[in-house]
Amino acid sequence: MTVQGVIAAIYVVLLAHFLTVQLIYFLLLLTSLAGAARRWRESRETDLDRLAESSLTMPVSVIVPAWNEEAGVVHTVQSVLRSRHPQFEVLVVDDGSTDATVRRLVDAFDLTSDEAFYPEPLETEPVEQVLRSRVDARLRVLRKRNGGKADAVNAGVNIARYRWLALTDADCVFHPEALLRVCRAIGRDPEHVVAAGGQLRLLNGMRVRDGEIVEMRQPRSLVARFQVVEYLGAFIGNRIGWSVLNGVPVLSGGFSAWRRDVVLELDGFTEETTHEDIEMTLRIHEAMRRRREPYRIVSLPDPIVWTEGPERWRDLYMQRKRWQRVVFECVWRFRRMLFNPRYGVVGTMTMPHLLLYEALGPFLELAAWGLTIWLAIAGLLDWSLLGLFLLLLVALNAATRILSLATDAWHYGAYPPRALITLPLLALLEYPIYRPTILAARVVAFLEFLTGRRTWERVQRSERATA
Amino acid sequence: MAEPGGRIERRQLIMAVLWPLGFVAFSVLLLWLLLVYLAAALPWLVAAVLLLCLAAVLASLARRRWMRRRLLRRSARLAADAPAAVARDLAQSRRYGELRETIAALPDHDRAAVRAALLEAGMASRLAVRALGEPRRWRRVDALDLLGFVADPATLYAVIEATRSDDAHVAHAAVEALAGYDDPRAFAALLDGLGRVPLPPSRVADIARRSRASGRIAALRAHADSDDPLARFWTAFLLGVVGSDAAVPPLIRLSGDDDANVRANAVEALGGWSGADAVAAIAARLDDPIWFVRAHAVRALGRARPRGGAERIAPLLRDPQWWVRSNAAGALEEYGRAALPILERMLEDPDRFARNKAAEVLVRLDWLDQRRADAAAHAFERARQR
Repeated sequence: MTVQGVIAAIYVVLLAHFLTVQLIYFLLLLTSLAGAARRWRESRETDLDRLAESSLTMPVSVIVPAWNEEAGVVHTVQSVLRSRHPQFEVLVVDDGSTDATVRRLVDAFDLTSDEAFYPEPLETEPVEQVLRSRVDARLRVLRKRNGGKADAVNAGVNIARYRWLALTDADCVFHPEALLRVCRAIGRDPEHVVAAGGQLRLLNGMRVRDGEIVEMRQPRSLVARFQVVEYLGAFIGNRIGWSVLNGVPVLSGGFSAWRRDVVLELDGFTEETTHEDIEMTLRIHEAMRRRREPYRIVSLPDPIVWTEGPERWRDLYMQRKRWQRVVFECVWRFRRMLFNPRYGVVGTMTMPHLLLYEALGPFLELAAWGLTIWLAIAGLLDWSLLGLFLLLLVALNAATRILSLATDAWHYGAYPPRALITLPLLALLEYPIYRPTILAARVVAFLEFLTGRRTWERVQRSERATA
Repeated sequence: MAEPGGRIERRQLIMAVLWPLGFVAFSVLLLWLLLVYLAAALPWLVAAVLLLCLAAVLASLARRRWMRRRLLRRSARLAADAPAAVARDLAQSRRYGELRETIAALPDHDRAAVRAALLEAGMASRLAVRALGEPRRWRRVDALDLLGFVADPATLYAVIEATRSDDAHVAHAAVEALAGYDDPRAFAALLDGLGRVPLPPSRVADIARRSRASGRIAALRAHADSDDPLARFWTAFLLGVVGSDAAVPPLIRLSGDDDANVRANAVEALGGWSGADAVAAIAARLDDPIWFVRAHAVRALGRARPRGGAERIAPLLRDPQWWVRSNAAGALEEYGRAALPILERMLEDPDRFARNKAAEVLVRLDWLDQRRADAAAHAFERARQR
């Protein structure tokens, strides 16, 4: 075989990889569509009004870790306190903020010192003070020394009163029925469900007043609009499919619910990875499957929480670097599950997917583009075939996104009608305009993973979102 | 069993080689098929797929608008006081899923009018036939849901029969429907369903809680003597929910049950009554050897707030279990300022947990602020007298 033949073979394999990725996402989407339809029908069986007034609805402790979140923390707490749920508490854990996070909370909720002693099953940085609200007895605020997000969550786990924990970020806005929707899903199979997540939507552009979304609008910036399309594809087209297979790779930190006894049994969330949510999800999979215990981690199609996404390309690049780094960390950390049939769907599908398509995918993609340029310069490229291939790629990607949007519109209608016209157009442009930034971030993240660099660059918060 | 991060297994290695190879082979084949074999048709294929996707978006949008318009139209007719006309319209519909959504969106008074009209139109028997004979799951579910809404006693047999279904969704819909019937047999069927239907017992109990059927106490009394601890557990809960004084004697009996969970639920339920019998039964469980029974008992006593109850609660501030101490503190807080003398006394208790908990409650009751205010008033009075 000549050198030219070898290069051609490599090129075909690389292109085939592209196609496989899109095909897998498309198959996941089809699984998701079936899962979403089923979940929607199931959700009609239990009336949320009845759950809202039942004493048997499972109580929930909502943990909100906050580090320098003065811009949005009050809105977040207001939106959580506004939740329709018969019994819940809100635990804001201030992780040694240096800005006015605590002062804003004190002013907004009339906090006073609560001299109570609590058991501490998980080791954390010392808790300096516990405050409780005079306005709403369900709210408590913990002030502790800085120890990272996972440490703050663990402090919340220690003090939580209830069996179910809901984690959210201090820049999110809750859907009023978020807790009820999650409880409804857990209540369908309370013996086996150990964790649950929901749909995250972008807050950018929305008008928020006192923790409530008063007007649904599209974001102004192109970056944020692309993220709307991307979130729809990721949450509706991807996670629900994994949920049907019981192989959910990650429950987003923006909103996730965990059984406290399971978290305690696994020694809480860890600071050893960049993000604690994907690590805990995979750790639960590993522990449960190793012990051969029946369990489920579910991802719901219901919109649950709105979160603020980056408004600038640079912030997006930084965020995606972090997200990609944690993929490498987790693939390495849980390498024992990779391709291992002992771990069922997670070992044979979720983990290989994370390795081949999420971790190594960007390099194969980069190599393919490099070879394309080289072949073009050498005059060895069949332009018509390449054109067809790119057309196929863009179309498959857009079809996945548009069908996700259609699913959302069919069942929930979370976006205004105008968005249903513009978002499909953006789905067509996503591949050529949006993906190069993501690709660059993912490649650089690998280099940072190799060099062991771990930073948490803060994303600039949009004032408009909470105006 | 190996620990996480341990050695790689042989079959794991084999899978690691076969898995990517299989996918690459599949992808290459697909690529060849699409780019070489179907090259001419590919642009059309792509265009067709995209158009279909866009059509799906538009269909979703149209569906939402159509449903809203239809609902508005029906609401307008109801507002014009024509429920019979709307019910006739609904009764003719065979699309029971849509019918459910329409009814769910109606206000309560309109729903009652529509229900009466549907009964008159003979809808119930049609629904019963579908609930029993329809092979498709979700159609049965829709029919059962509507049967629960119409609640014609003549169709109760169909719903009870459906609770025996192996399909959890059908059984769930049937159990939900039973709560709609004002009939003792429906409530008895709900209780029988506890632990038998393929649903979590808590879900069945929650549905039974909503039932307003007559003769509930009689049915619950019978279940209180069941051999099954699960049945007794939920019976205790439901007796507490019913709220009738007739529920107290069986609850007192259940508060002495052999099963700790049943005892805990019974004392928790008894917290809704402040009669001497109920309070005595709760107080008897303050010394229960099982900690969570004590925790429930002390909370119940806080809710019942009998005279002298704070004296009984205070010693539990030094209980070895955190939850019992915490509930005791909460119960004393329920007593408010009446508990201040006891709490002040507890500040001198030799047990440090008891002292801490008493201090916590005193802070919550603004005792310190009151003390400061009293001291200031006293000083002011003294100064004035000088």
